[in-house]
Amino acid sequence: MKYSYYPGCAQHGTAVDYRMSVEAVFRRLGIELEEVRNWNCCGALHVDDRTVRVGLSARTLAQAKGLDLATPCNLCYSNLMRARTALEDTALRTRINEALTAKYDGNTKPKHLLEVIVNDFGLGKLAEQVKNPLKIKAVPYYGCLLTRPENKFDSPENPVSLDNLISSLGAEPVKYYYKTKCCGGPILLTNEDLALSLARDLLAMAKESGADCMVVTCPMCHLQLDAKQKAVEQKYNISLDMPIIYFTQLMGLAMGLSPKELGLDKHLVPAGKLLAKIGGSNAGK
Amino acid sequence: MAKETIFPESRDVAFRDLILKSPGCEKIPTCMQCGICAGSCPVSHEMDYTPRQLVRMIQLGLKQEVLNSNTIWICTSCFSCSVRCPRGIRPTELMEALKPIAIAEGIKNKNSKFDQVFSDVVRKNGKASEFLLISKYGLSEPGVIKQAPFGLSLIFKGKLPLASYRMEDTRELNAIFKLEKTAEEEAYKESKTKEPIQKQKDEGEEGVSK
Repeated sequence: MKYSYYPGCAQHGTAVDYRMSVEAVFRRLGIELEEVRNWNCCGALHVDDRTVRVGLSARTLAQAKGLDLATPCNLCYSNLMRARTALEDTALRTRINEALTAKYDGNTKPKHLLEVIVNDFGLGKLAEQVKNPLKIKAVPYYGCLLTRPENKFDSPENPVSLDNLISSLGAEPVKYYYKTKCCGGPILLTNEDLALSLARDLLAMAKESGADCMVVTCPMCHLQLDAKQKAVEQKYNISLDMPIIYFTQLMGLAMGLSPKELGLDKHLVPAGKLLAKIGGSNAGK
Repeated sequence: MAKETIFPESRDVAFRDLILKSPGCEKIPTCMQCGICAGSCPVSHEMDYTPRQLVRMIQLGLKQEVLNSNTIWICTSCFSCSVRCPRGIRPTELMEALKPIAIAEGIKNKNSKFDQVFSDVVRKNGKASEFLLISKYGLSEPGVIKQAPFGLSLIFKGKLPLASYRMEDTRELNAIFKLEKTAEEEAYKESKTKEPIQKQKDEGEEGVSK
């Protein structure tokens, strides 16, 4: 299996742990990710000119060389999917193609890495790779942009792909009402109070569910729920201590990879207690 | 439930028509004010007008009220409203359509500043270095200094590299950024110079219920 790969900007910085786990896990599964050469930012939610925003993703779509285009980030994924739809408008596509050296033909299919694992690789095959079934409870947190607005691979209201992935690793996905509720990530710098209140709701609900960790699929959600968790605890005078784990890290742990190799020591909320509970081949590493 | 009276002179038909042509906004005339957008919105309690109200205000062409509302900037772009609207309106895309117009009209706030900083970083480097974003935004918005411990905790974990990263070749990127300003916006500007605010004959209309 081979994909064109668009990592997105966060993989250079705040999501370096995500990158480490993606590299380790995909290598182990034999899924090849060929990074797009000289890629550009997708504009996230902050490039306000629509034509430019679509143009940024059009350039990425045009570089996929006939392969499906995989990405680890919900924001990048959503932008690529929306650009793909927007570029069905041939007038817009022609206009944007004038700016591009390699023209976009309208045929690239973007896929989130979760979709690659669940739909293309298959959870049955994944379960065969599990060396250390995870006897833990985990919150399947999808965030906003994995399933909205037009990402057809799972339901925008009650998605199940991440639940199923967690089950296939031997862990129990807890019932979680806020599966797709916004974490506040996009406004964490500009409207901190509001962002923290959104994160508080998610984290408190996770705590209440009795979960050992929350599983995420997006660098922005991780930043907000992991790196800002201490700020939430301080502001609301509550104790959370809720490890936030990328789904690729969870896969790696079940496949017997070491926590260090998966970047788990780079989290702001320590994963020690979770790792002790998981035990098995990961204990003490 | 206070009602505001809307006077003809506050209505801007050209503005309304421009918005109705934007993607995701075409079906705004069919809104029946059911409010599922406002009910789905995780942050509508912080907005001065909920998405439902804003959609009604677009129908009425209340340009100044719309562009000056904090609603456009509070929106986190989660798209909950947009996947639920029974009329197929995408309020999130309405906010996206309004942002550049508000900025062009001189609206400035923390969020518009952040968007400006973000766009500038991408325009120049092609990639969004988080360190550059945080430091540049921090310079324009001193209140962000409160979040310094957050930045330091990331640096300590090796998650905020101070060296900025950029594309090797930005020629195509420059061409993409030259596409700014769509044909519709140009047409709108032209229409504004030809016929100033089109006065309506009616005596005001029942407007936005609060």
